[in-house]
Amino acid sequence: MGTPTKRTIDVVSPVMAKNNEIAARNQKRLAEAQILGINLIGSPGCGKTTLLESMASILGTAMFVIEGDVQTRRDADRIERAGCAAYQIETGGACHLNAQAVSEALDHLEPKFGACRYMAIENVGNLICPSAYDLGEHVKVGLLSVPEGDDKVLKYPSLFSRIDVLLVTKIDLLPVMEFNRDRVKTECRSLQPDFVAFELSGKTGQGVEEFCEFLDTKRRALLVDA
Amino acid sequence: MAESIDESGALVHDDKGPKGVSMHELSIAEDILGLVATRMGIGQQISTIHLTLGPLSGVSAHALQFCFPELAELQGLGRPRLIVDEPPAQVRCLDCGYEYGLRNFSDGCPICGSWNRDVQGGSQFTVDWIEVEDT
Repeated sequence: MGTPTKRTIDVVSPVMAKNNEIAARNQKRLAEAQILGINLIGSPGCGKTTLLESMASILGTAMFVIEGDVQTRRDADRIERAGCAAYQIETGGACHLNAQAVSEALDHLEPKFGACRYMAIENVGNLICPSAYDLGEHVKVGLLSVPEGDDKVLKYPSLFSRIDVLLVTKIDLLPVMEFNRDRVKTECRSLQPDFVAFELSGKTGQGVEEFCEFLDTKRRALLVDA
Repeated sequence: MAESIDESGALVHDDKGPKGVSMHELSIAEDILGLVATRMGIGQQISTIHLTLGPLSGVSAHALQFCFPELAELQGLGRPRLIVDEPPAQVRCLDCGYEYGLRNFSDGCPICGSWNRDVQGGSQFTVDWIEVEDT
């Protein structure tokens, strides 16, 4: 055996290419069924499921929900009680959903697509890991609740630099918490200019209708593009 | 890895493979090795893998370095060295016009201190080149 020789091979490939390819297929599949895909990303306890329950009272059977949690199907049960079709993904430890898991969830839900207009995907509660994975959504939503504090945007820039919508949630707690709403928006704008902000409370329903109207506009734009 | 306590009170690791990981850098390390294996075929002795990781990629180079060698060895790819280049995002200050590189987004403009800025890039995450040993 001779001396080992080393050679260098140029690759230049995006690491997330495989996930992104599946995400693009998911997105196309939803668009063809005239369904708007929505990826909800926020900390555990920021009010994602409560928001979805509130949205269910407005959108009814037009909304389907894919729930991502490490364990239990508690959230899917809550959504079904609120009147929407739900599919639970239990990641068994993983801190994020990926496009493949969503593709499999869509396989399960597709036979019931008939009345569906919105596919809300509630990601695993986490501000970091889900930001690296596109799922095939048309709208990426970052949630930040009032009790979490107004200093979080620049602590988690990878998420807030990618969102289409910033939702400040639990605004019913504003009277008892110190929270500067302008700071949150200004810091998000220091990462990117292309987001829309809403303030709402899933508990009282305040602001939820405006968010649903925005989603309706987005869905109509999807039909025009198709 | 998911953990639970069994009936005897012992800590049990619930290893479910790719789905049973608790930090996304482990999933991402698998994606990198998958990409390398697709490109190189299995059984190559890979000595170095070079990555570029932007500050908005959502991936920690430190966590990746931590899990990468073990995982590569498990997959029969040796213990390759991972070189991670972390270039800053390119930023233009919208108040004073200064152009600079930024890694920590809570820092303002080094000239005027403003956060009013245009950020270009920063989310790149690529495998750039691989070094293999021919024996």
